[in-house]
Amino acid sequence: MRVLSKPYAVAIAGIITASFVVAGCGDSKDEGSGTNGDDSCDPNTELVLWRPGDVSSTPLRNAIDRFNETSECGTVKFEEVTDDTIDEKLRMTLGTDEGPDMFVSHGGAHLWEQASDPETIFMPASTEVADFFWPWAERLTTLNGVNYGIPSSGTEPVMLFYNKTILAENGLEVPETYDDLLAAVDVLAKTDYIPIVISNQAWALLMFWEWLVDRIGGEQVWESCVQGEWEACWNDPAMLEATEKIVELKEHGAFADNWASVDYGAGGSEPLMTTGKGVFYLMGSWGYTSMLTADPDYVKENFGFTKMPAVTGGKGDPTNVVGNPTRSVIITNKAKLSLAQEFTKELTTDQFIKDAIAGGQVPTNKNAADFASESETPEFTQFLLEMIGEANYFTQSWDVGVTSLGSTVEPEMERILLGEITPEEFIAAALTMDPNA
Amino acid sequence: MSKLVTRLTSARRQAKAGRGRQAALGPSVMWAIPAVVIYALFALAPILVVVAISFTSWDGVRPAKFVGLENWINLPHIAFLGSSVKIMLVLLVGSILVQLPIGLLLGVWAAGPQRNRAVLCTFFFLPLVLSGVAISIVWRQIMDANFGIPGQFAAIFGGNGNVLGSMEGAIATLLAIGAWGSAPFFGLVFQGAAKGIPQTLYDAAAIDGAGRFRQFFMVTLPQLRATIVMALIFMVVGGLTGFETIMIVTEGGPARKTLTTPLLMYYSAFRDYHLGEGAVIAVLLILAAGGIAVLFAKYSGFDKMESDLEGL
Repeated sequence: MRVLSKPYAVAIAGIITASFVVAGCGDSKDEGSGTNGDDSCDPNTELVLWRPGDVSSTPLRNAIDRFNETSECGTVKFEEVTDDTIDEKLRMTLGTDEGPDMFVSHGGAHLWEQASDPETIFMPASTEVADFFWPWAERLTTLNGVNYGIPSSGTEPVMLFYNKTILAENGLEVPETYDDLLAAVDVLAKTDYIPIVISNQAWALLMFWEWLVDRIGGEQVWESCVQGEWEACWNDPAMLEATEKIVELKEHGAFADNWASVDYGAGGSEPLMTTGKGVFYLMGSWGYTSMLTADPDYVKENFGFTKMPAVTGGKGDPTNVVGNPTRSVIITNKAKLSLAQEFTKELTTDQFIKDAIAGGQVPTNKNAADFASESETPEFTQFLLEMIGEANYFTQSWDVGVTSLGSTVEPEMERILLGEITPEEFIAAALTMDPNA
Repeated sequence: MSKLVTRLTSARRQAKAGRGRQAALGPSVMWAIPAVVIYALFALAPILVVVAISFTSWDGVRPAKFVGLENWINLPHIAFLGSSVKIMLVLLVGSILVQLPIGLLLGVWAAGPQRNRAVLCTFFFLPLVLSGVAISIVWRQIMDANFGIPGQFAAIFGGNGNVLGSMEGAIATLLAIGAWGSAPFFGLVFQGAAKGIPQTLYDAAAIDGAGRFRQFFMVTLPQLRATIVMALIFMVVGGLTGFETIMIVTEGGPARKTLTTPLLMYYSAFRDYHLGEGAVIAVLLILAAGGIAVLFAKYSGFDKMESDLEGL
């Protein structure tokens, strides 16, 4: 920071302050209402919880209703904040009077960036409550040894979907390793089928790196990126090898040559799967739900799902998963902590798990497998629960862990698949894009 | 002659002095205050704030840190700024070349008297009433390689429908969407102006033996000069600031090949939360758009307030 003449500094400061006044957000930095640690019971206390109001919020809303019916010391109010605006709103209001008492977050680097001083603004979660959930869920909401979150929605790991009818038609088995997959690609490339369906959405392409880097180098490779050791992370041989394998898949004809004009989702990549044109699809578990909605009969009859294949000789633990581990309830310093913690107990109840499973989610509660049979797709739910239950490590999607990845590294991933750069050039480009620099 | 001018000026001065200040030149300045206040609050103040932010390092959460000229000195090193300017200019020139002729022809045609034109015009002008964002989402679906129009064409004529996947295809798509969405607006403007051209000019031209095409080039075009300049200013400023169609249809892709400067600004400020860097790009865009508009007005004679109907 430079030293500058006082009138100049005052003028700049004045303009910046004026901008906040104009924008209607007084930066009062109020340290909450001072109710923390207060065990008194006031039935009029109301805790406001912010979350996007999509269908996946139903189990949480039901939990709020149940809590409010029985609670004697105050209630919780669900306030819908859309997915597009919740980040901005939290950034502006956390730590001020306008902020919520609780909100729902994906956790990770993203969460710590949202508040100016996370360790003062966020309140520790009850360890007793956190014990009901898989331990990897806690890792994403833990800062300097303190956990701030309680999981409140389903887990969404990346997995490999396949069309079992087409595999059988071509005499192929479900691939367990990368080599199996490559061999299957070789067979399918000679047919009219698209061996692996991809789209032009960079975050979806990113899953190929998330998968292969984990299997080749283990979870610590990407974790070093998240922890700010950008150079060490991209210089890891696993990054280059993963990139080479992706190029290898492309060169073996795994992807359709018009992939760059295929949008992700219901208008682009998924119909390729549900109309029987594509064979493999690497996607988050939500892909199954949305394809099921598009064509339930076809999907139930033809679709199989498996873990991301292992890489022979790779250092990674093949039980590891990547994706969106869960979304957790974070309590802020504005809330009455005892009441908020009491509320989070509601997320450990059987009814919460049942609601989540009935809504097609896979909750991260350790005992969720007891209720898998209540799912509309019990086989899928059971598979997911087993997969996350045995997972030793759950790597958070790279673009959630490092927010600027989308505009820096992701377009380079497209260039790799367009054949414009070599794997070495890709690594060199990624190295210049250190988000911490 | 010069004496007359001097006399007139001094007479004006006397009149001014005699009638007192407030009555001098039309209504009082006070009347402009509401407009000036609104303009200052919603146009000038945000611009000043952006300029201020450009001297800070700010992630939108922690307090902004004053870094002096650091962001400005770093300007040549902003990744992809140079390429984004080139792409923006290509789209800008492209959209002028596409939209101006279409808008002009549409407007002049629609200014004609026949009744069926009114009905047809309603259809041409339909895109104007549609939400740009919603329509962009629809276009994105329409351009899908397998299930959209390119996919259908590929099924009939061969090829793979990979339109959005190449730089040329993506730019052509953006130009087409721009023409479809904006050309009718300029058509509407030209229609109004063309209706104002006196019939006597055409009658005179016809007597002189000018045919339809000659009438268009010798009468219609010169008469629309001021309107064309205005339309060009709109197109340039729109090209330098517009980004929602690109953000939705191509997202700057494939691999940054349609990443324009406004989109880069948005990504830098609101996706990566480098608000200082984003503000620098924003200030550049403001200067470029403002500067070009002023130059256009100056060198085209748009600012001279001369009517093309002088002498009629």
